[in-house]
Amino acid sequence: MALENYTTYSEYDASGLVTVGANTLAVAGNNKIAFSVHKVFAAGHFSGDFEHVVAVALNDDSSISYAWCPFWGLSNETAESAHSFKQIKEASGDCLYVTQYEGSDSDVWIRLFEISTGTEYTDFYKYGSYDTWYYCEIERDESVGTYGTLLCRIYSDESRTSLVDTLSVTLHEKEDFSTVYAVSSYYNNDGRTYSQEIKNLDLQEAGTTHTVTGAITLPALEVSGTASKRHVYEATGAVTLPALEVSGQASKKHVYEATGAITLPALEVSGEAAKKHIYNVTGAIELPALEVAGEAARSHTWEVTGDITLPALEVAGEAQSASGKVTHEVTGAIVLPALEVSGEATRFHSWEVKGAVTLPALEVDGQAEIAISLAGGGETDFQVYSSEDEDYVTGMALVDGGLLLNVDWKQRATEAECL
Amino acid sequence: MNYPTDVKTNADRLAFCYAAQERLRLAHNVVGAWYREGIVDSKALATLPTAWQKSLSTASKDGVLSETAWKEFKANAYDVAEKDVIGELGAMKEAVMKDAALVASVDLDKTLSTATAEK
Repeated sequence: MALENYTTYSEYDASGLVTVGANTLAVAGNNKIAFSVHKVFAAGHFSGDFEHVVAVALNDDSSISYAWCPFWGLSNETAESAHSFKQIKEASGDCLYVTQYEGSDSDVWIRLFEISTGTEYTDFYKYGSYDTWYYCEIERDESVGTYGTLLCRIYSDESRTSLVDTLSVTLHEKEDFSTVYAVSSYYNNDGRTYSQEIKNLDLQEAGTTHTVTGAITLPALEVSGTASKRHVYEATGAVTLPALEVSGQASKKHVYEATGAITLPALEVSGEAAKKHIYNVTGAIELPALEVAGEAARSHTWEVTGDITLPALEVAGEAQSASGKVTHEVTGAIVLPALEVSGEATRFHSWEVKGAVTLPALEVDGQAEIAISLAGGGETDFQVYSSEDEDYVTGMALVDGGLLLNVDWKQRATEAECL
Repeated sequence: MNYPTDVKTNADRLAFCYAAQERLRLAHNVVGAWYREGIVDSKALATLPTAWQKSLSTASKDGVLSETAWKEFKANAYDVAEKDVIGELGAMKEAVMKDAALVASVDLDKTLSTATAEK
């Protein structure tokens, strides 16, 4: 339910008697001048039951002129000119309308009318006051009476809890209408002047349900200014959000507000992607595991501007083939992190490099056990520096099974020599 | 809608319909004030139809009538009762207007002694 925007209605007001706002009308009325602000819907739009609400006030202009001041109505007039309920009646037409009326003794009337083939049926409330807002609820209920009943409930408060009167007219024909009036003149009924304010017409129409069998395309949402409300589509089945197409430069990003867990859809790119997509996140994010089925033909490049921490490489089970290794392609200088092994390392790590590399000096802190083996096997003499004796010692050893020496690697490794 | 046994003619019934509509309006405003102000006077509550007293007392929480309870009352209690009365009122209006005997009894010379006030 939403208030009618009067600026979208057709205004026929050559004398400029009506000031039209989005939800308000100010009328400097005169029954001698034709004017109307109305909207023509499709034929039969107002069919069956309906309930419209609107508020109205007649200002005290210090003169009682017996003016008729219509502030709601329905008809089937479509002429692109000012309409008048008085003229519809005189032409033996059909309409429904509600009007204020300046009675004698400073009473402000509210009168409800059915005009059926020029014949008038009415009910009225005649104890209203000037400068007082009346909040009306106009209802047609076709189940009451042979052709239905038109009611106008008049309230004195905006929340419509204080009922002043209920006007009713038993309808004399069942008729659908197409034109709704925000205001209309009562032309031509002498020069009866008045000052009236009307606001907040709400036709209380629910969204129409269209039954479609094929795909539908929802129109683009255009918003000028600041949108204070967002639109909610109620869907009962699975929905597929359409691809986002942006031509030109997008100045705003779209934010989806989600309260539950969400799964971002897989990114599919056909052809060559000319632009990359950037997700702006303010909280911590966790990138999903990279899963590749089949042979990956391309590597993925993340461009980062800040510090990053690559996650530890975890391998479950035994890595079987060389094709399973990961190659990081880097173009700048890199510093490989220190290799830390806790427990017993059963495998060594090898780096395969294609270009020139400079391996860092091997530094071992503490006592390292090293094995020496000779390609030829057999026996050999050796000389090794003993830190305990602070001297070189020589000897001979069988090296078929290898020779195990304890060497203080703070000394130079070349001081253990096979002679 | 039920009429008292002593209300027999269409004219009496029409008058009774207007009176019933007015009682209904006053009852509506008792409930409206209850919703608006969050409190209801026990004497005012006693003027409501018994069924309304029971359903509204059940619907109220800590003596306050919620918006939901108010809308429920409007749609399912008041509007139904109002249309019951207004439907009968419309029928009685038609019946009185088309009362041939009454129309025949009108002497226009005696009746039209003053000008109509309405212009």
